[in-house]
Amino acid sequence: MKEGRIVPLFTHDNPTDAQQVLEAAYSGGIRVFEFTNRRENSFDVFRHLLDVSKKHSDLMLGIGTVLDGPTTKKFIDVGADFVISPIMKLEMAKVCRDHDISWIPGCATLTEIVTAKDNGAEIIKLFPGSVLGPGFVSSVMPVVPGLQLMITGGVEPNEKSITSWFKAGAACLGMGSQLFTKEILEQKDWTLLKQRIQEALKLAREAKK
Amino acid sequence: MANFSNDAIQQAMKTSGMIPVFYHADIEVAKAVVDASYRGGVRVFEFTNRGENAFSVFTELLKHVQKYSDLMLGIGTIMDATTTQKFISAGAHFIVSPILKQEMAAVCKKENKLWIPGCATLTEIVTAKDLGAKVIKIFPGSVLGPGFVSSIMPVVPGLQLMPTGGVEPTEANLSAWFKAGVICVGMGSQLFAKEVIETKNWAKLEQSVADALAVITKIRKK
Repeated sequence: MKEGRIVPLFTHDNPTDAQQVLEAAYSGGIRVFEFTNRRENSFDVFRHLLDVSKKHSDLMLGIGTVLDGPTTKKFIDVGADFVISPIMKLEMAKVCRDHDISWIPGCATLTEIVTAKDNGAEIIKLFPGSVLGPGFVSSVMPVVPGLQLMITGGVEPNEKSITSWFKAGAACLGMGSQLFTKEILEQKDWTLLKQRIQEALKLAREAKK
Repeated sequence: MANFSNDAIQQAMKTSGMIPVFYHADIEVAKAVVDASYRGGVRVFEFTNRGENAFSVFTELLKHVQKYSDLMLGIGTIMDATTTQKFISAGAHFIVSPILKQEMAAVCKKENKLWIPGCATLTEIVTAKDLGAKVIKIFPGSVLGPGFVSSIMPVVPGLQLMPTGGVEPTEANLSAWFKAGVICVGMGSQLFAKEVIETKNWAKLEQSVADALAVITKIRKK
């Protein structure tokens, strides 16, 4: 995650389109991908993605928008590489620990962050990023050194946004609707998508220097 | 005493789109504010437990509003289970809190009263939902902003949110909140200007309330 600096997050109820997006992201340089559990059939689509991504030995595919323990278990059982949540729910920490899978909870206050850290979270998602802002990250980093924060929600794929988050101390950035725009998905323009991902990754690499 | 189902209260909150939030130590002023709000179109009112004699003013107010068959009067700024029980026993139609306190959920559940806890993070919101909250107050609204609501709505669909604190009765502000997906807003000091209360200008107060509700109706039609 730290190497890639950008984790795309995406959901789709069509397995073929989801697969195309995953492939475009991979060929654009993505090695850590978050599929989000936001549709009725997300479990089936996720299993399909796990199947087709086996050919890429260096691609890590995790599940996001998981809100409870049983759902965590269900996705780990089929092979999710990591579990991401928009909330900090301790029953999820236990399931992940029992299966030795990375638990990435969503936090919005320093109390939630430290509680997550004390319960074994090595990477913590900051959500919603746009509401908290880079100033939140730069304020908490000196207070609890060693935090690895992944920013999600409103991170924009432009130099200004990317640079401001990394400068504040973010470990990596989650990017969803800003990267996978409605137009790209509607037109199924996978070439453009690959290009946008390459550009975002380039900005992230440069911002970190 | 009028009794309203929790569903009826939620429906009334959604229909009117705005709940006034008010406290005054003087029962006569409190009565006049509730009456003016009612005339302005308010059907759900939150009196807040923020002063020494809030309990006695509230119980008097409950008696006073019996003349309205369709006004729901709840109590806000409740912080613990004991106080929740006390106000429910006195006849409060619903309970609002600026915080998420589990023991209050248990009392409201036992009494079958609508519990509206105040939350400021998605973790708190989902915890409240899991504890049975059907409507959740977003507090302080002005700190979190409409962007908070629009960020979380796609993640946890079906949330019924009511921002309170710094919500302004302007078209720009109200429109941002409703566009983000809230079901109603709570409005206190921005609606009840100090000067209007001090000069007991109830006609002006009624007009401010009616204006705010009209703005909400207009926004929703768009």
